[in-house]
Amino acid sequence: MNMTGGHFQRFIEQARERRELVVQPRMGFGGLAPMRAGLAAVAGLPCATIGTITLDSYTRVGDYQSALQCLNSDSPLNGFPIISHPLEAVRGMLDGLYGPSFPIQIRHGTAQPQNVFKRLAALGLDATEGGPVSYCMPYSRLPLARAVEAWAESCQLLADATAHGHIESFGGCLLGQLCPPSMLVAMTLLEALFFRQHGIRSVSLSYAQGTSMAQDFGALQALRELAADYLDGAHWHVVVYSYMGVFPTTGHGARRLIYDSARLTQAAGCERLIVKTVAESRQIPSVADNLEALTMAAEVAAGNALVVDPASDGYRQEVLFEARQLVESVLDLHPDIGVALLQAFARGRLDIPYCLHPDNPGRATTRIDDHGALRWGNVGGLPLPQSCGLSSIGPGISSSELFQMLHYTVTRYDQPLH
Amino acid sequence: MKGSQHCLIATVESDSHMWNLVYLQLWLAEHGFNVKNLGSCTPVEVVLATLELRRTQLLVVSSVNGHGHFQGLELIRQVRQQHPDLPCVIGGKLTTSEDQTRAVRQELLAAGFNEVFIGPDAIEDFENYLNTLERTKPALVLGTGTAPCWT
Repeated sequence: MNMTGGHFQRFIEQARERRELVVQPRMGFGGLAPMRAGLAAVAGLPCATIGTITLDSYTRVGDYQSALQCLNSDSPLNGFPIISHPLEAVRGMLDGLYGPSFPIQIRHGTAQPQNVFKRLAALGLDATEGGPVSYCMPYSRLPLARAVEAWAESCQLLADATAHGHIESFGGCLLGQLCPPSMLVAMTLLEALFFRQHGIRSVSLSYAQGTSMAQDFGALQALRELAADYLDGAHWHVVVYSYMGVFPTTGHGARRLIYDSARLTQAAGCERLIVKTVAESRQIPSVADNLEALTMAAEVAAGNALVVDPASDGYRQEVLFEARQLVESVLDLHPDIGVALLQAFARGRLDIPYCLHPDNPGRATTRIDDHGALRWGNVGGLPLPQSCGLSSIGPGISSSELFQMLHYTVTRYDQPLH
Repeated sequence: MKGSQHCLIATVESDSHMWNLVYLQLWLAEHGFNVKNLGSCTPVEVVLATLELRRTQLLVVSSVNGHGHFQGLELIRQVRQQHPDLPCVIGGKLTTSEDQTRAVRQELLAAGFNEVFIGPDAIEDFENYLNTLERTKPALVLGTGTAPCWT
């Protein structure tokens, strides 16, 4: 692997050589001083950390005026308004903190991120995340075609501004929970290929922890195999997200779930982990909550390796087969990946289970099987054999079954310890 | 029997949460409703336009991001100008704390919601409310479901 690239990529590559997991929080504050203090606290940890600037919800939807009003009236914001603060002030906030030993990623949740990308280029930052599908279908009403257009333009903006731009696809986290791993793997690969087609050379692939360690381990192996095939020749790495669904409410349950996400990431040879905190089910985590979770995750990853469940190889083969089918079926539609993505959703070749976005076909479903693994309930129009689904002729999903599935993890982890 | 009753599910414009809306869609369909789900981040104009186009016997607003209170008030004020008698309910996590939500309940009712469902008994209360609706069954309306076929 060549050692060029920006701060973000080089930091990951150096940690990979040391076999050290890079841990990263979610974090965003409205004011310059608290944002700097939060970043400085993360940078000060002894483990390998990357800083996060999460943007506020006004900036996400392009309402910079409201963000500015909040700043002027000292009203709280739920993230950092990177466009509403003066450019020089943000430069000052980053000064002495951001650099090769402490890269920073901008997390924004925006379906149309052109202005955010312009801003991060102007600030000399090199890393962000999202994707035309993953930041549109689960979170907005914007027609997918417009998100595809906006992301193509945004990638080009970043590529023109810096040779070192890095974008993480959020496609491995669709709706946060209850999506079969093969769809997560396929979507993050497709978005990474989309970024590449629009000039971004350095990418990461995401994967959200699911309901079964064996299945997640197999899925991550499949993701790495496919990434090596499809993304050969330039930097890629995998980022795992600690469980994103309903989070345990007990201290022991939350800790054990974070602990499992760290062991999983390390065992599967993945480079980066976005960590949740013990406070997750109650409130927006404080800096101290984040520091505790990051330290715990790094310690777990440096400790005893996960004993891999032999069942994981069956999952690896299953995800490899299904994800490859999905990716190939989309790439076959059109040489322009953006157009291929649009056609794939229109024809049902891509379908995010339970996603209500008007451009989603809405036929595919997920079930949790007897082994606790996420499976297709119905494959809908996906280019997969009907046998991949558990219930092509069975009863549909009931509200109580959905409720149980949404609470499957919290129920399991919150159980009292004996 | 409510087999022909049409129900519209919406949320407030700032709320991108989806699972609450998916759950309610399934639950209301199980309670005999023909459900149209407008999905996350619903603009008020889309709710109003849909009510114009489609005969609706119940409007359900669900929000869990903590902003449901303010934006819910705005929504119901506009809906009531056109639809003074339509049964309209709201529920979920409507403010950033449960205490606050209890405090704003009266305000939401005064602005025109028929019921506000919050806290651990929300779904049970909603079910009891649906039973009261049955007695005022409107004229039969035939139509096709718009819900995705999650079968």
